Amino acid sequence: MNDFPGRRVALSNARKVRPATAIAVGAPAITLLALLVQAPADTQHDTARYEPTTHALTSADLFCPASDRGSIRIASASTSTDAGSLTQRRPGTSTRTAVPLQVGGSRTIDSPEGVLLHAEGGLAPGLTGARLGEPRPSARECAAPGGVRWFVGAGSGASHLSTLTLANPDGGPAVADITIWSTDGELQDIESRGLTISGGKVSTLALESLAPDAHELAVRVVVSRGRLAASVRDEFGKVGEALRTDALPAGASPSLVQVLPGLTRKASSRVLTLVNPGHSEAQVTLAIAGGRSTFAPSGVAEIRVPAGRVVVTDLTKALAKVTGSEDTSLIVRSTVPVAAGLRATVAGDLVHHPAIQLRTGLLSSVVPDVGAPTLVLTAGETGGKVTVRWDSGQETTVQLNAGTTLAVPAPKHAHLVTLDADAPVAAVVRTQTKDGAALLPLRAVATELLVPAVRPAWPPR
Amino acid sequence: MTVTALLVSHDGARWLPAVLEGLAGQTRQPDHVLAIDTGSSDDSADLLREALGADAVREEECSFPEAIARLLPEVTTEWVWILHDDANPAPTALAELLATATRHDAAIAGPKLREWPSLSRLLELGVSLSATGRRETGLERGEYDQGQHDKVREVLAVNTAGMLVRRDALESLDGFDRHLPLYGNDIDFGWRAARAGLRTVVVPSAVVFHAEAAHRGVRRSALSGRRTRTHRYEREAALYTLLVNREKWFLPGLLRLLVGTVLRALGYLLARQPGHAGDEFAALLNTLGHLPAILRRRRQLPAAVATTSGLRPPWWLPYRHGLDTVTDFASAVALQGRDAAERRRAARAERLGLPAPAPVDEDELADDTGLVARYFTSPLALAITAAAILGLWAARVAFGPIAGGALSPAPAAAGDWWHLALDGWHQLGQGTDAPAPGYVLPLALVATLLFGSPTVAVSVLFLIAVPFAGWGAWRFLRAVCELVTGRVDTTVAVWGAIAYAAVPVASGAWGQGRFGIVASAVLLPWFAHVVTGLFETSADRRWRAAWRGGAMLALLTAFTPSAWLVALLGVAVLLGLGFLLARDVVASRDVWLPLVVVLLVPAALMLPGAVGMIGHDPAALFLEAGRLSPTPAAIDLISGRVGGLGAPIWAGLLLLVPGLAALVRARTRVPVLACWILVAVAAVVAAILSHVTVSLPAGPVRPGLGFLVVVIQGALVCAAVLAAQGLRPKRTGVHSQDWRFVVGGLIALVAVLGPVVGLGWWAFDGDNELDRPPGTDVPAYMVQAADEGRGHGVLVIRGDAHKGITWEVHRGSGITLGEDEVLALTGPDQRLDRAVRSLVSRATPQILDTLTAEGIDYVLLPTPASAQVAAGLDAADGLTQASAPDPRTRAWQLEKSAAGDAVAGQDPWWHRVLVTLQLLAILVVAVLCGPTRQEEDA
Repeated sequence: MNDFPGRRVALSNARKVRPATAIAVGAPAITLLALLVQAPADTQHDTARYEPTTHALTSADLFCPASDRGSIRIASASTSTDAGSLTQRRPGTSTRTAVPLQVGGSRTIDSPEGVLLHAEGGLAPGLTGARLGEPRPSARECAAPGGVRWFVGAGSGASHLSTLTLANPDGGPAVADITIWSTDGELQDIESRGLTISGGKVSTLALESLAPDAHELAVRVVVSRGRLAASVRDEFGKVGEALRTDALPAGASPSLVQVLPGLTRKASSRVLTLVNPGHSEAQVTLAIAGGRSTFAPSGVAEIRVPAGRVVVTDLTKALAKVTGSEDTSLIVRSTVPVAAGLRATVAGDLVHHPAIQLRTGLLSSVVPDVGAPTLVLTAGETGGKVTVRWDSGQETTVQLNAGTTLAVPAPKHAHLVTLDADAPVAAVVRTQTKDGAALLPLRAVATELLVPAVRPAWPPR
Repeated sequence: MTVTALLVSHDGARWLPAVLEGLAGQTRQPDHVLAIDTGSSDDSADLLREALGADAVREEECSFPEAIARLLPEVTTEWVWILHDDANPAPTALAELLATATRHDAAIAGPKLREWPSLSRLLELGVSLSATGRRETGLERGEYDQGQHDKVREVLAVNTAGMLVRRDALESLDGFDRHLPLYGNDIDFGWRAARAGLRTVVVPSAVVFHAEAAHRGVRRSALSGRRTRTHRYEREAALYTLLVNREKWFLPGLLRLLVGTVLRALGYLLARQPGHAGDEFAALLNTLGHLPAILRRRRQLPAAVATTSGLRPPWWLPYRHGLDTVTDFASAVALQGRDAAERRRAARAERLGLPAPAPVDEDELADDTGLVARYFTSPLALAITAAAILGLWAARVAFGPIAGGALSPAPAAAGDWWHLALDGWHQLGQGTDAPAPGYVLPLALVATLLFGSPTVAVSVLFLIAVPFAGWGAWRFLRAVCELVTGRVDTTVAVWGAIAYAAVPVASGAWGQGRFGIVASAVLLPWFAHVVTGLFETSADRRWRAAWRGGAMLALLTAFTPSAWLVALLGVAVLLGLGFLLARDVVASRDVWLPLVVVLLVPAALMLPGAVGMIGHDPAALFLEAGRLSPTPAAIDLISGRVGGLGAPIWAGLLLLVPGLAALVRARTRVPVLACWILVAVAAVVAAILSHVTVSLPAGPVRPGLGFLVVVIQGALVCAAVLAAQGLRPKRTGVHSQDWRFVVGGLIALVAVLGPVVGLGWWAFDGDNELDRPPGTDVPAYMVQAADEGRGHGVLVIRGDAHKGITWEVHRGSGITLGEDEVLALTGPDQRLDRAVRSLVSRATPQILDTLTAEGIDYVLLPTPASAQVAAGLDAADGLTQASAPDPRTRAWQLEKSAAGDAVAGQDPWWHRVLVTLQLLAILVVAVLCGPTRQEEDA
């Protein structure tokens, strides 16, 4: 019994924790714990990047413009094992005829009319071609469809006529917007937007009809819908003389450095056309890339190109001494992106030197038969190894130093040249006879297609 | 004027002594008394022989009509007085009957039947049959005899108990119909008498006390084997009598009986008396089975000499009875009986001898002033009105069609929702048989009631969210305070209601269009209120609460599926604690089974969805309603925000102060602990679910935690309200510097600040996404093309080559409310995915044919359109340019048009079965949820 009589008190264990208190402490504690363990918020938006993959190119189109001089040479710079197929058709018609072209080989197509070529399979990568004329050398490359093309050195006027040809290789209509700059500035108020070319058709546009009497022009063709192959033919002659014709190849887009390779040793006239499509004035300096180094020619002042204008500079005297002794290329450096084109008269023949984009990787072009074709390469800021392959079997590897130009003569019976450059180079095939000269730029061999990653939209919008 | 009394007895030993005494005590004694015992198993025959002599008693096993026919040849008097073994005549009965019958020249006279044993309630004063076969006495149930029916009247028939009938009339009418052995032979007899031109009068001055043994089912006979089948046999007798005796309109009458049977059965089902409903049909079928016999009898009967329509009830009487039933039911639903809290209050008041408190109803005002004056002088009414107007103004964006955030646009008509809910195959995406979400069916019903417009239904949901949440919280808090603490502090309850009403809007669910959470927040307090009924003492009320709770949980689960998980855990915890602490109470089936029923009902009511989800992906149980929305972080969860835009978080955290402070007060600790256990459970479930990523066929989805946010807020509010009961400072005895007063004041201030900031944010600053419908890039003419069939779809391609391309198919006017979940469960069609991949890289005519076969007519690249893809599609043969309002949007039309039913499909057979079962389940549960009727019919 208890010690104190009369007192009945339950002996309680004061240290025992009552369950209510335990839960009163435990419940908020468990809540806190659960909150600490909880994962962070999730917006449930998918922000991952899905990188595209590359697939081999399996389809290519080429447009060879009409001409009454010369036939078309088509070559395949592809190394694919698949045989592929090549068909040709005349614009406006739908009958396609097969062209028996081998992978890595070349073929001649005799057709004075323009031809739309379509390659499938193994023949699609590296399809290249040009219309080659003789005896006076002329070369007009077959144009591949592209989004933006620059033609610097066109004209519309009595002594300088340019014709723009747009070809639509696809089934549906394509739409192009043409912008023209002249020495007075960008030409507004011309009906050059939304030019529609139906599927499989070719449209020829004389720049004179768009912008009459504007002598020196730079033209930019932007394809806003569909695909179009653009090519320009230029006719130029001094007052009183006959007009001479040459292709005006598409040049590089405006940049701070423009490279115009393949200057001939002699030329009776050289005129540089510069266009500044930007909004601030450009200060342009010229340099020559010779065999050993790049140097500035003496007597050439800095050229100022106002915003939105074309500036034409006569470089005949300034370049005469420098180009005579070796193969050279013209380097145009500017403070603001400009596009350049050089128009030369060689032995009475008109020759256009386009600015070529410096590229690494595979480049190719067909090689004319007439004259002594030479491959002229110019390296940019970095030098490197370049492997030159001719379809007649020869292959050489050259080391190209930075800022230098190298000329490689073409072997006999070579119809196709392919370059594999480790360093960025600009290259042309130049052929020259006593009657004139012609230039064919080497274009990049497109072997792959960027295929975007496709997935169903989640979460749906 | 001689009278023979015929006494028919069957197992009537209980009442016979009194009857015989009454017979012996008549002022006008009958000249002869004959009795027949029809096969009794007790000692009625002996009693009869004792009282009347052996030669007056016959014994034969037969029915009542046969008994009368057996005795009739032995009757030689002018009049026959028929008595039952449970009909005790008053001393003056026979005298009055005779006198009145001869005075009025009636062939049949019946007494006033009064109830035996109570002796003063009226039973019958003549009886008639309505056109639907209902036995009409013209009296109310349990009417006291105060002399209101004391006129002598001519009637169609009188009960055979105490009937005085001329012997030749009895003979000419061939006695009672043997086809009606126990019930209804009186009306049939009276009707035939009326047809024959004989007059039947009721004599109110003659009183007979009748125990109604047969009707009450107390009398057992071979016929009425089971006690409860009297209803059926009475009905059969009534139908027989009607069909046999109707002079005109036999066929229309038969049809009317058919329709009437269905209606009556429906009425019995609503009253939760399925047995009676079954009886109605059984009686009808039996009668139809005996139709040849009925027709034969009709031919047998002599042609009617006089018309009886004046003696039968007017034609509108059955409709009046129907109306009465409906209003009865409606008023029962409206009144609902008193809820548990008020009953307890009343019981307590009764126990303490206090006057019963009037039910506190804020809408009930004093009766002696005018309505308008009352309204304007009541601060509560004015405050509620001001709050309502402010609420409507704050929700003004919901007055038009709303879409945005998690809310897809509403479909054009309620029929679209019905199709979505009831069809097994949906023409969405590439056609799918995934189940529609559970909330589509209730929304379809609401939309149908609201002028058939889903837009109105959605707008109404968003407009009434805050007031209904507040009202529900108010009712629940009052009830739970009363039940738990025995008092209700109105101010604190008002604070609780306002704090909870702020939850749907301050959490950001309203502004983000997360209608599932909004609907859950509105329904939760109503559900909680119903669940308090599970703790009632009466088993019937517990079951009622279980069915209603199950139905509400089904609705909650339809909108936020995690509600079912929380309920599952809650029931498990409750039963676990119950089995630990009070095993013998909880082990009774009437205690734990209702809790389990609450969990099972949602599964039954959402049957196609539940089964379909298991067929497709059980993880879809976690899908939150509507489009994908951000999930809350831990800080959001505890401050009552659902992630994404919402009121400032610090305002939500303020609610933790009264919630935690509620734990301190010892008096209310136990109920507050229950609330905090709920908070802890919800937090644990949220923590678990937040780490789960559900991989649905369409893509990864995070489970919806919105319901847990609402539950936590509700539990905190409830804890604070419970703890604050009775905490008002008394005017005397407390210094204002008392630290408890200061702390309490601070807590109150903090508690008020939180909801005020939340509601203020919503009303004045609240940004919401409800007026931003998802991108309508698709041109109108493409949408209209879908009018000819959902197979005319638009393939919408977005993105660019570097970040990836996404595609989706737009059908009709796009994804509407309820279709997001179906598409989430479906997943993209593999064939179409491959086709789109090929389309993007190189479009060939074969690919375009595949697209046409998959039901695509247009390809659309909204801005910013990927140039590469656009160029590729431009190059394709078989695509023509199509126009789009935005010049930078590219569109193409496939040259071959898709078939209108390109994505149509067959409803799977099992879906129809499930839908039928679901609708039946809904019907059954709806009936079981009905209000408790005052009396159940025997």
